[in-house]
Amino acid sequence: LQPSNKQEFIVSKISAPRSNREFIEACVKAGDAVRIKQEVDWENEAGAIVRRACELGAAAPFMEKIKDYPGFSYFGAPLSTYRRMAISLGMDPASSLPEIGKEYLARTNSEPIAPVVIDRKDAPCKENILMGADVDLCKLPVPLVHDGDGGRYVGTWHAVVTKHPVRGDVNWGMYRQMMFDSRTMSGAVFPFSDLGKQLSEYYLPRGISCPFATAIGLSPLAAMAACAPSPIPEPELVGMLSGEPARLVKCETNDLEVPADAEIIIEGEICPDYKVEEGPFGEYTGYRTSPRDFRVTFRVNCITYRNNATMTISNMGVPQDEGQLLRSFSLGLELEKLLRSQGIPVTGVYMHPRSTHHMMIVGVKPAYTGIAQQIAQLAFGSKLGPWFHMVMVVDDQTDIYNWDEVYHAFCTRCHPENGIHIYRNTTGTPLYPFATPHERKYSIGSKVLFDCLWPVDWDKTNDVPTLVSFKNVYPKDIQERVLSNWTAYGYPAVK
Amino acid sequence: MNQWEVFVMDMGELAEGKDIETQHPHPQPRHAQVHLQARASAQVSSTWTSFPTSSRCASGRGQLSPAKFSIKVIEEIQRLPPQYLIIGEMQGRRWRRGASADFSGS
Repeated sequence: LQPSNKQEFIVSKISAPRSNREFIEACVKAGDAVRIKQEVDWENEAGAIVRRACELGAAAPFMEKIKDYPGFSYFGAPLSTYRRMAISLGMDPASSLPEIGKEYLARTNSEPIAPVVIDRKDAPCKENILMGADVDLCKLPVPLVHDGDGGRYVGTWHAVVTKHPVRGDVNWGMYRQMMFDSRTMSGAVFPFSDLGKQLSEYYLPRGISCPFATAIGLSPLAAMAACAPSPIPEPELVGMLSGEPARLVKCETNDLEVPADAEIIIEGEICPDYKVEEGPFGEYTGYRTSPRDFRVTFRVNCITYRNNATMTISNMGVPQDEGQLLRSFSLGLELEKLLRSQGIPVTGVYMHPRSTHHMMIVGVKPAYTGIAQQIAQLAFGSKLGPWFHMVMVVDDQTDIYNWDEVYHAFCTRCHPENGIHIYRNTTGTPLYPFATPHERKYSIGSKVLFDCLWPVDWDKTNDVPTLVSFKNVYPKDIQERVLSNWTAYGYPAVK
Repeated sequence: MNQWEVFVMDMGELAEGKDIETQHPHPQPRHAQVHLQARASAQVSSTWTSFPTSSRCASGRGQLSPAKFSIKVIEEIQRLPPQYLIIGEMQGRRWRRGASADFSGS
């Protein structure tokens, strides 16, 4: 992926779905979503459908009839395939991953587009308003996503909107939220996250409750923005991704602004002085790792929702779901931007979703000694760092998207003593399955760099071994002869 | 006999015959209330016939204990600070924060 040129980006070309509903229609039309007409149970059945669809890489289930909840529907696994990611960006569903990545980089390197705030009466998310004694999370079809979860999860594919009261920084983040009782949710907010920092920096020391709004059933690009570890404020990032201003609307009970076209908005306050139990929950690593514990409490004051609201569900577990796919995608590209900004001659950065966004593969021109260590230190030391613990650096001759090549480079070029660098006592997440209970409790991590570059001080003729491959060892004319005769030899044609 | 699943952080919390504080599910839920929770003081017994409700216990990551317990809820406990339960006014609009009974939702 090459650095984008802002001039090449033509906003008018974008025709991305502007809402969850437009996205579902586009997915159905492309064969990437199925309408499920028969009634499904919110307790496990809907979750099991989504999980199986994720594991098969199948079309996204649009469940139109939910037991106990007439008028509501579910849309599961919204962005668990690159095809649906392409649709969300208004691209051809058959676009390749490098093409999607190039488009993401072009759009996110463009000028920020500020959101617009529309009148309440024009906001679809205000079609129904529950306040005061009417507030009851049981009125929403909150699913029990996995059997064995600690409760029903309201927020699995959503944005928790908060704002720093002094600096005014707006944050949209995906912090899972479990329904504890009819007016209380609890959730995992890690201390290194943007919301975690807002809470520890301002609200908790002052004992002040933090206003929040949870937006569910977002446009896919709003969900992408909430998921992306980008330094750009999410409302502006949505504008950059979609090519037009995000439509926001004021909340009913606080000063926050939320996506006007979202299906459901839950408004309330984060209690600084009260925690309730949350979890366990099936997580993106493919395990139930983080034990039930006392976590952040979200007290609900108001619920608004569209007529015939569709709740989005992400069912995290073994690969691959959108937690892995989208997070891998955005972490990789944001790291690429960071490394380029530091003048590192990277040829690309890729996270395979099946690594559950734990391993960064960085392709680089090995221009100087220590370049792999410099990359690892920048990656681990950045805001992105807590979310992964492995960086593998390969040279510019290795196709980072081809696992066969990457694996070969790893197994043959990474010196067991000189090529593996371990960083101890770094920031980690409590969700690492391999972490000890003590490490989980205090978000302590360890990191590792696999340096798969030939040492710069090796003589390229005498010291660096020759790669023995069809492309590398045969003269061009022999290669061409073999390729042109391939089917004549009796082999089927290779695409 | 009713059957519940109760989450405990540590199975050691289930001290025989002592009052403990735990979360318990809605005692008589409609389907939509099955997974609601509340804090309560309770007594547990490893003899599953001692109290009217039998209980399976799930610890930290959802692992179900093979042992069966019986449990008696003594009383529901509201730990939410009172300021989150009062009538308030925000942006000139009157609204009421959640009532005290967490199972009072319709």
